[in-house]
Amino acid sequence: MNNPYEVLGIPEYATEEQIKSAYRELARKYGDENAGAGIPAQFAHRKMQEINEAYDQIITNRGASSGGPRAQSAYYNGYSDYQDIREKINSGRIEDAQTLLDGIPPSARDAQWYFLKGNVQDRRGWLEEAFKNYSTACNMDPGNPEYRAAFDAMNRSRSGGYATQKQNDTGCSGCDICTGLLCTYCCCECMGGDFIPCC
Amino acid sequence: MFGYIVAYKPEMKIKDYEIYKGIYCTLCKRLSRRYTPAAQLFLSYDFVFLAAVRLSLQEACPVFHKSRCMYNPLAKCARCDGDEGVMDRCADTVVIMSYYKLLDNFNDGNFLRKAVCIFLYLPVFLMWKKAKKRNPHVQDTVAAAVSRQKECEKEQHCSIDMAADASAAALANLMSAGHENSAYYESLRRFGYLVGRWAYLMDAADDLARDMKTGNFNPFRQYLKAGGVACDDVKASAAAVLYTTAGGAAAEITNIPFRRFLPLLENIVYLGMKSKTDAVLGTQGETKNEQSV
Repeated sequence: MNNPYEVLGIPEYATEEQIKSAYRELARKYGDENAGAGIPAQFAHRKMQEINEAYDQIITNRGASSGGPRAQSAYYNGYSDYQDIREKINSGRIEDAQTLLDGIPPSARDAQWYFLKGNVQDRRGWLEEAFKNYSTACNMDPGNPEYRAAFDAMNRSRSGGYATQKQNDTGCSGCDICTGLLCTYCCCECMGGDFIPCC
Repeated sequence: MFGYIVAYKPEMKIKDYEIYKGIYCTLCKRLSRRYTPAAQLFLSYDFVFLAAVRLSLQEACPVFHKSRCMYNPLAKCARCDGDEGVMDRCADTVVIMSYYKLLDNFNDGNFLRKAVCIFLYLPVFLMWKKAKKRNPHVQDTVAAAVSRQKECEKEQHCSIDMAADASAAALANLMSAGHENSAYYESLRRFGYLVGRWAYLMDAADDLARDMKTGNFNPFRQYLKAGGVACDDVKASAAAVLYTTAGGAAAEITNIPFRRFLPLLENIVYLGMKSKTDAVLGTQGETKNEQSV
């Protein structure tokens, strides 16, 4: 196999940040979504594999030498990247999710990116920026129910329409009345009374 | 904190009101005993809220008993015991925050305000030195927030979120200190963060008219300049920001297992914060004369 640094086109003393950005640059060029634009699909696929291997190798080597964790998550693989970020958000690792999101270059940011960015900011309590990002996500992908729900929820509380009272079901519902009648009926009939004369 | 986090009295039960007043009285008494009677001047209902949250999360149940107070000898009010140091910590917080507030007032006040600050400086400084030694954690939290706030205000493009972050994080720290290992730690932090953010932004909204005249820093003003929104929309967009923040806090309160005082806290978060927002944004003249409770 070729020297992994040559494959990525970076010097051996490159920082982690440089490696990641070089990787993303190449992945955008040869990635599955973009292949076909002047590059034969077969070639692009092989090239992409080579790039992935090289990147993996460098990160593994560096991880082993510095003892740090493998930064596999920096892969730019479209949706799988976002999946990873979503998992991080769900497990409460907001800082990590933010770092990963910021690592995605502005040109590659789509509706999902804005939604996730909004989500991260929402978790941090940066509600204004979160609102802006939610609305950007909604504008870019108006049909998506997930983005729409987040945007609507925030929009409601912006106009003061948030819950100001605990929901409690202590009132008397139709079911309660029915149950009450049934109980009365049972008791009365058992004791020899006649609560409902017709039966 | 500046006296915005208050209960909404019309919807309160008498028992909650008694507890609320009881915590206030205890804190006031504690300030006078731990520092000087002059320290009582700096007590505001924000600290009562902080104390109520801390008290409602502690293990042991605080005990209330009735006693008299020299400022109102005819009425007996509830006094709280068995607070596991919550009240002392809150009293220290009052002093430390008042000291920084005084410095801040001195820096951007007019001549009269400056004179008042100089008059108050020495007693407050002495109390602050005492409080700093007694409670270094509170001191570190507040000092960090103040210095971060200053940095933020120097920044050219300071967003609302960025400006509010320092104060909000400070309240989050103060509220959640000591609960790091609990399951509700994150919720409590977020709750504290949003309430702190709301209080900071309320202060900014309240001062907006004055800051526009004097040219002092105000997050809403910066925001409007950057966004190019007309001055008439200032209140509308401030209201949206404040409602969102209060709504976030209201949503978070259900995730924290408060052991007691829940009706009181719900009243403050659900109703108090909302009515205060409306009061400050609705008619600014009225809020000056309004009693907090």
